[in-house]
Amino acid sequence: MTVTVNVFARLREQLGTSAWTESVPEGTTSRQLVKVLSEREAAISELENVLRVAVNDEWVQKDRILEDGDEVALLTPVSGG
Amino acid sequence: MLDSRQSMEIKVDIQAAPLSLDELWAFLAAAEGGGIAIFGGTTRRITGERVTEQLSYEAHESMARREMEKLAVKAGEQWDVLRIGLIHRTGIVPVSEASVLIGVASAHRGPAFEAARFLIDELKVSVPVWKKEHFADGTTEWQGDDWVR
Repeated sequence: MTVTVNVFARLREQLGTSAWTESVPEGTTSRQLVKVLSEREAAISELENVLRVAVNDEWVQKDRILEDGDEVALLTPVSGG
Repeated sequence: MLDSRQSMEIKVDIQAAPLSLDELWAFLAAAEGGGIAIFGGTTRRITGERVTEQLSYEAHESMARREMEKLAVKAGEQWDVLRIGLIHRTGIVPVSEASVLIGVASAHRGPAFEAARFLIDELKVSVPVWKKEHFADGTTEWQGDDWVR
């Protein structure tokens, strides 16, 4: 199945892209996805401890099972206002 | 009995254009309550020993809107308020201009002040927006090292 990964702010700048698609096995959790990405991308690895995940605009726990077509967002600590 | 909580109206926006106090005021005043509290967050020139030229903001827009709406609903459950307006700016925000406006209209002033304080505090904790400092020395720095909770 395929999910879209979205990144913002410092992570977007470091990766040089704001979104891409990932093919992942059925049953992949958000935690597993972050692990796979962090093994591939140093920028994600460096921030892994503070990353939080949202799926389809909702905060999720890291063991959330992903579904085909999900919009996954990797979020660094927010600083709005 | 009239329950104002059921008819509370919410206005949430994220925009690149400068924030209009007049528009927010008009929305809040139309509630015909007895008080309006507005908080504006503005770009600060001096932080410690560092001089800021401007800030820039980036949002996960669709999620940020939802989170701002959720906060407004939460405030409406906690305080007896008539209208809530939350507007966040994205892109460049020069020194002294507003990056965020929080407005609350209520029948009496107490709930308006209290809900506005709650809304700006919680917005900073949970709404996916990021701030980048552009310092006078030419360096830039994304803010947000860790989660508040």
